[in-house]
Amino acid sequence: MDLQALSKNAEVIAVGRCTGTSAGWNAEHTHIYTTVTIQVSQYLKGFLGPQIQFRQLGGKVGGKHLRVPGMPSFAAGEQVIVFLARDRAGKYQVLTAQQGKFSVVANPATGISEVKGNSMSGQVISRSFTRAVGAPSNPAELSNFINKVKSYVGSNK
Amino acid sequence: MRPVTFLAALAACIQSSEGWVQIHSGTQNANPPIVAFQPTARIPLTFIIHDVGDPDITDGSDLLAIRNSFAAWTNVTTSTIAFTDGGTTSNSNVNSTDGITTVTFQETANPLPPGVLAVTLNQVDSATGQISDSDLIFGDLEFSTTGETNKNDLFSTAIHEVGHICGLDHIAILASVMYPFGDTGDQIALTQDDVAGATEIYPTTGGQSGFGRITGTVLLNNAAVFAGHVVALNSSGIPVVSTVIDSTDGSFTIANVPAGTYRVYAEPYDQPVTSANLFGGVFGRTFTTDFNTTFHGGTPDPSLATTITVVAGQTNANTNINISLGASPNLTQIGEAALGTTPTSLGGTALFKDQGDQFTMSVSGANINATGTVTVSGSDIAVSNLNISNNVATMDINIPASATRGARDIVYIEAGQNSTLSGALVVGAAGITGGVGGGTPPPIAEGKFQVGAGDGLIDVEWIDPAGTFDAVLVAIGTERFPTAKVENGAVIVDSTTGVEQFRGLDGQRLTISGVTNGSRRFVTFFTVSGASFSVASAATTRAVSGADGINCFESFFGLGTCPGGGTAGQTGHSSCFVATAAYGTSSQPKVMTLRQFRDEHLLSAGVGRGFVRTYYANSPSVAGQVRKSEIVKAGIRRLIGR
Repeated sequence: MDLQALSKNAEVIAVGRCTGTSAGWNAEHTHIYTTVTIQVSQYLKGFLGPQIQFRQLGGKVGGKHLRVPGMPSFAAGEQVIVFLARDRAGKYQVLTAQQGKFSVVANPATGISEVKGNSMSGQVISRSFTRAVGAPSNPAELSNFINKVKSYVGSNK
Repeated sequence: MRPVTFLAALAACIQSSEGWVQIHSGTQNANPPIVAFQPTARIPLTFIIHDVGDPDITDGSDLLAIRNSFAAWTNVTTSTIAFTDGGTTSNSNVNSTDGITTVTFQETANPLPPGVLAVTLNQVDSATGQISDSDLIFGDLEFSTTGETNKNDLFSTAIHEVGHICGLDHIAILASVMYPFGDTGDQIALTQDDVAGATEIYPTTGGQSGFGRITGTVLLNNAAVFAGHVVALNSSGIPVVSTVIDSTDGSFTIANVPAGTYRVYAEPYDQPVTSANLFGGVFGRTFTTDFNTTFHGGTPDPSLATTITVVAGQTNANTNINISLGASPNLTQIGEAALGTTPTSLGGTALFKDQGDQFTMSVSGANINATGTVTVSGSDIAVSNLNISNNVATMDINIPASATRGARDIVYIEAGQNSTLSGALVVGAAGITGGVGGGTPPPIAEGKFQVGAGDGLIDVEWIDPAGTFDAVLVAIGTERFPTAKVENGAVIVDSTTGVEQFRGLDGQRLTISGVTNGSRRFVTFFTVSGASFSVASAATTRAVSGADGINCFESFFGLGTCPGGGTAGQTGHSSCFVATAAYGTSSQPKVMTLRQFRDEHLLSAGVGRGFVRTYYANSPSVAGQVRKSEIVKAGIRRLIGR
């Protein structure tokens, strides 16, 4: 899914910092989930309050590690942009998983914040998060990225 | 690594930097890493499928595509990894603690994120890497089993996910099954790189004896650096086997490399594949990515690279690669259009073309310019009319009919710089004029078949001049058979289902027309001799492309005839699908006789085991067709001997 499609299909687009992750078993003890907490600094679409929590399949509890290739990883302190949408159960998850998560990092040479992720360009239809359509877009300056997302969101209103 | 016995597997898996890469667990910077694998006690893994399958595909081809995707890995003859079809279940939800490998399209208890196509869950012991449970969940997107270009090919999606069940993670050769990106309509099959992975984790006895190894370290200023993936490029320009460096000391091993001469290069994870696609992203941004594609010999120029010779059973040690920091031209995307037409859409997935094709191709890179040039690895594919502007290079590509089949690299070069898209162009066969891989048709027992020349049709001709067999029955799947006609012979047609089987004598031909480009077929031959019949061959086809028929036949086995009489007790737990379908029950004495033959004779010999693998991989579909036709059932019962 390219950035335009992500912007169109996401219900919530948030810029913020991951403040923590926590892995645990679901109530039925059939799967390990990781709960991700994002402290939001800016919404580009939708609104879910100053803090977002969502959970995704996979994670490590004790010696058990439910590995889900392609699921996005989050680290405490990481600056991120997440594209969220509700699943069949009405819970927010990262749209298309790995493609819907971007990291914001400072270019060591320039100090400028850049956005890096796995959003696809060139195609519209999502393939999967393990086999995704198209190629990742090149890193973009954070301000340019935000402006582009805003323009996509605006054009879809 | 991960050989037949479990203790040996555990010891062997603690190696660093294997070719392709295994799913990591445990501490992210563990060196050597803890990597995931299926313990020997779980092999063969029995999988079960939610009986609804894909709710949008109602002809049964969805379940068949899934079964075939498991069978494709089972059929890797140098690997012990194997899967058994455990049938279906009415339970749509999976449980990652029950030890059962469940495949479902309708997980309701724990839904996937929206927009996801499929996901594999592996429950891994983070101390040992042992997988205790694997499950496969498909998402809500649209799948196809007939090669529809606007939908996701179900087999291709499933074969990738089953690779994860095998313990394989993503790799960076675009043509490989375990490459993380795909496109709607793409149809993929296992490459040598994928086979190398399965072989290394689960080698058969002697399965690796025909291969060599390449080891070394990626160095920056003579110090090891954690950077990139490393590829062994053969003399035809085919990236045969790769390794994803997964240890921070920069060391690598490219395992299971066929004997031959190679150039070896390191390529940064600077897109299309990035560290986020690998190891669950656990290494984050610790990779060095700001360097050019660099060959062993310390040069970005392929023509100046040091060539090494890989000998079976031997290791080419110290194949070090010295990189220098600097901005890469950074090729990231590729696209195609009709010859003379500029591509309008570029992506990060391989182009699948055929011998004889001519087309216009574009590649894009952040730092390419008009002073550079673009080549296709190998010497037999011509690039002309190259134009580079605005970070996009557009050129005409001419693939000669004699071009070597396989994946090729697309390479951008200018003075001192190189950026490579590994395996970005896949050359397939224009049509098969022989048997396996287009060569001389191998014997099937004493008869054989031929596939016709590239005339826009798939032609199958049965050759049996000695009259050894009374007939041959040909069944073709995996989905609704398209139009077919038989020259000088008879065809059995089920008017309700459209399923057709061909019964022919020497020289009779079966012609299949109307095959959708990119669709996937398999063909099973039953030889008939007196009161006996046997499955002479299960030939898996893939990637029908262009108008010229089948790209290749795989999994080709010849064998003798199943006995047709007598009674015996049941010695196996699985059924003889076709015979069971013909009699309607697996307890019929003739069916039991066939099982006994399988267990006592076929399974005692290597080639027999190979046949049994292939037969069970393919015969369920044939059985399904047989079940649908009373005429065929009656015929097979007669052939077996009532």
